[in-house]
Amino acid sequence: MILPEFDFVTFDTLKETLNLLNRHGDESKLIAGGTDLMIKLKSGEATPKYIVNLSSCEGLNYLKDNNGKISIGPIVTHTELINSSLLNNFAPVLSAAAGVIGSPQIRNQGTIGGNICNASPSADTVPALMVLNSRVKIVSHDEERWASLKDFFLSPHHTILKGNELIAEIEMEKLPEGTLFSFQRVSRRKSMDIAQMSVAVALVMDENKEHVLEARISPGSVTPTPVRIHKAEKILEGEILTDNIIESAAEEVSRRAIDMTDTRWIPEYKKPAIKGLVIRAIKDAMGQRGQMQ
Amino acid sequence: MKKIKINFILNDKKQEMEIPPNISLLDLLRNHLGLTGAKKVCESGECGACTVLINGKAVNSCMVLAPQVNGKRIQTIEGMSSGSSLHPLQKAFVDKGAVQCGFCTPGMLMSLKALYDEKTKVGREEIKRAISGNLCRCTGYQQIIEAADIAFKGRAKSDFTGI
Repeated sequence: MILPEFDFVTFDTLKETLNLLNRHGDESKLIAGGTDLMIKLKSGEATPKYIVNLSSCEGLNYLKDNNGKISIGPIVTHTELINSSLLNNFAPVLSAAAGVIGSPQIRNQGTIGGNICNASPSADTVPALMVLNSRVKIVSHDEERWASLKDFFLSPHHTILKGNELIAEIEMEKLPEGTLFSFQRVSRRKSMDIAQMSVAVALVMDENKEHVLEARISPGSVTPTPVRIHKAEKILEGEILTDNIIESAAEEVSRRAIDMTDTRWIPEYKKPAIKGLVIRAIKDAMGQRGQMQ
Repeated sequence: MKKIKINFILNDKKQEMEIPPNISLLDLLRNHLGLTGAKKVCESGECGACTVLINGKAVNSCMVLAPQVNGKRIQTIEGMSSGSSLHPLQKAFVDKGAVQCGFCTPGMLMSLKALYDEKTKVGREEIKRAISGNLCRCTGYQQIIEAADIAFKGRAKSDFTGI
């Protein structure tokens, strides 16, 4: 297949990369895994003058415990997220979300930074990152700023990232030990399909694992940009989770998501489906209580 | 558009080439190196027929920009057998009739080889997961899974007896 013409540029250091972006950012595209960019090059949607390769740029590939937070470099692949013992112990919701992306081939290639920056409403890692209160470090040749993930997205496929900037780090909270997590997703089939809807849930529990101290719920694929549904979270907080309480929180997620809807929606089926998915996620999270020490 | 020089290891042999940057790894293999084992089908990372290994991991070569393989180790179906002796996975595919039209076979075998090189003991669920990004339009999945199972079991046995 014929791809548009471009120059391919690789630097070893972030400084050189950012200097190039400073001069040519608006006519450049960044490549890490390339699984989204290749589609756009083939369709003619992207016709950059330069493709700037991040995969051999130093200082972008790490996953580490950072003073009670978890810091992840943007070019860490989905397979690495799945296999990380740090994530499996402290943020298994992110490993679970990464585990349903595309196929083994796509997970071996695609990166967390790419999943975020492509800004698809169906990006699987994003709801998981939302319940971990993630923020991103945005750098350019002369500036460094942090943005919370919820403020990073402007609309589907649009972010606050300027042409001369890139995400240099994704940082998330390490929630207290014993926090219950779940990531659930609906798609037509298990592999090679984008999510029709998904939801990530985190429940911080009291000592006896009975009452919810703090709840975090973020649905995916059903709102134009990622959100937490605080009203639904409040319904769960301070409570012992009975079927009634779980159902009214799930109802609230569905109602709120419908309110924020755009024309792509088919509320008739999505309304009960998202409610059912939230119930499934909360019950799945609750089910992990027995497995803990 | 500047041509770009790349160095990589292809099926255990060093390659140094000057290529246009705007080609996929699949086109590099098929059109520039004459390796037509990786098949060109969906061109969008959905079917797995173009699967090759980069540094031991299965990827869709249609979704990799050729210059990205600089410094990497690439394995394709052409390097899977050693001389005339088939890889145990290939032999099991032949023995179990896991090949019908054959178009998905190189991709299936490369996905399974990634698993074969990574782990010794592998169950059916892991086999299914490993080929979940490979479509077979003859729908011969059952035979493919059985063939892989036999290859993995055969190895576990030979490892056990020290052969």
